[in-house]
Amino acid sequence: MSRMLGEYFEGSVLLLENLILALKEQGLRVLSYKLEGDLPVIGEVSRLSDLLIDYTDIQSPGSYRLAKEVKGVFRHTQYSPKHLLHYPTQVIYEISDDFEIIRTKDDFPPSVLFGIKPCDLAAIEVLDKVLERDDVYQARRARIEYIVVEECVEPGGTCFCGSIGTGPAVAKGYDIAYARLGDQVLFKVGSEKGLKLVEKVGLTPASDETLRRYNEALNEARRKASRIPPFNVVVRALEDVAVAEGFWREASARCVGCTNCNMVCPTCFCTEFSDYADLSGKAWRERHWFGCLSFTYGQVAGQHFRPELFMRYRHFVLHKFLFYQRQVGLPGCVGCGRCITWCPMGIDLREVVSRAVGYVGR
Amino acid sequence: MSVDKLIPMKGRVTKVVDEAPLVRTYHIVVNGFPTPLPGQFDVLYVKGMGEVVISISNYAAGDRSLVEHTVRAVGAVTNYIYTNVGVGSYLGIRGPYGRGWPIREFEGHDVLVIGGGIGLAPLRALIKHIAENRSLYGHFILLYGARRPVDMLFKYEYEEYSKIPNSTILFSIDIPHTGWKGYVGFVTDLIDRVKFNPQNTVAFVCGPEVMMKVAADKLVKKGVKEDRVFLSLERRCRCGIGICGTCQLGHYFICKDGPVFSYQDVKQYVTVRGL
Repeated sequence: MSRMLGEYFEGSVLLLENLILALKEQGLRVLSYKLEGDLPVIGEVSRLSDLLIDYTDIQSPGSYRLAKEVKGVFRHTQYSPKHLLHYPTQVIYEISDDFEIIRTKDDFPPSVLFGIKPCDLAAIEVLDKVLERDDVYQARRARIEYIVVEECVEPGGTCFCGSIGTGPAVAKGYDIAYARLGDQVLFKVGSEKGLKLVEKVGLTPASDETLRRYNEALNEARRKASRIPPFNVVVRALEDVAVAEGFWREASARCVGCTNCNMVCPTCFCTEFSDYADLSGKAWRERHWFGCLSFTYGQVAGQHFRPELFMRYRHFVLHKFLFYQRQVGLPGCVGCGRCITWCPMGIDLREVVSRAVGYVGR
Repeated sequence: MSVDKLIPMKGRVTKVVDEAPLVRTYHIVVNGFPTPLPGQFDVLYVKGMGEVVISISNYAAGDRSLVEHTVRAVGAVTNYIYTNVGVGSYLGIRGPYGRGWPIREFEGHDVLVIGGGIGLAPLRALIKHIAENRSLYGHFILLYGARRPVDMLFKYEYEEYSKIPNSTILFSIDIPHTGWKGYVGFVTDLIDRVKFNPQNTVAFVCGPEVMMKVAADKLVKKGVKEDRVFLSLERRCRCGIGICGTCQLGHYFICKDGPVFSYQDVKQYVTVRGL
């Protein structure tokens, strides 16, 4: 029987190891969520046990804990694929005393994104478009040979992808997707490349029973992750409150402008430039992540276009829900909940946008 | 791999013109620099100091392309340029960027140009374009205001402007000054002092944002359509190519979608404080 795209396969969780090894055999670097010391990061892995397969992330507004738990349910960390593709600090060039420009090299080996989440994939789709003219991003992106997504059978404490429509399942843009159902794993194939890989690993077509369990789990996860009103309802509400200063002053009352939300957001892409010079006469120019919640966002010499914090907070929210849509035709918020978890003040974006619905302006 | 688009060309300053207190025009020669359009901007780079986005106030195409930038010393980089950059200095330069004034689209129209203070700089190349292609445009009006007579830019060119056929040119200052024979008050007041046919007029406006909004509202009230009033906006611009994100105004990137916008396109955003 020939295997086809869109078919479902199943296997034991240990087959994920075969998948990783098959990818490594092709000379690819496999990148996934893992531990570095006791810090959860995203980086290179070489075997299944490197993955956070026996951990559960416990997330709530302003709080993140990682618990060791056999057959745990792991969602994500403060890192996202953005960290790899649109890396935090880039030296753009060095320049010598006689104005000779030395371009910096970026060696990004052919890689695989493994076990990233549906929200992460949705975020990559946004970055692909919004950073279309960014050579560095595009060069790194072109070196991602495979994307293997782990679908979420259980949303995290701050997740709301179900309301946005970016999860818990994936529909396109991946090579292989898998969902963990206890010891069994259900695999979905999204590309010809993915199909070839699945054949190598030796998976069997999924039984009706496994498929039933999968559909049940994903539907339940979708229901649980629908924690704000539907995206379109939120969009219309935000269009109405955009001019209501009172709403934004209230929403940002506890915000301290730390930009944590910007840094952990998988679609936030803004960068700022800094110049450095040393005593030898060498100078270089760097580009690094920059957040719209920081005081200088909107400041120019002589004036400030967003002098008050509520204005910058408003930009963050409106950009995610309204402006990305107008810029690239996709929601800028993928419902991953990182900005809620990593907000030191525990400001809950879900509450803010939910409150916008039905808000009577002042 | 670096962001090649962010790497500047090497430019040499060949002439510096004093315009007004803290304002100078720098003539920069750059081999093979692409020919800009009126209203576009460049990013100037001072080694080890940083970059600054400056509109192109004049240009001449050719192998040794000459671009002029009128710079006011107001921030770190511009103060450095004002104090330290002279004839023979090197500056990094990249561009030209952005959408300039829609000059082709409005051939055959009467043109109303309104400038405030340093805002005349991005309008200068436009005025030259109209003067050099006089038959392509109808009646030409220039309204230009500054705080004091001494703050007015390109004074040495006003005689040339006055020779543009079929034109009206009015100046204003905000602060009364002995010997000043023109209008005292806001430049936008001058809109009431000139005759134009709103149905056939396109307006190009650059100055402080408050002034541009007042001008736009006034023109619209007089019957000029919102999509025929063009403003050149300023925000915190860094990259110039729409990737750094810091110049966003609503869903627009000022650098790539602007800096010139029709009032119709940006009204929803510029009328909300701090958006």
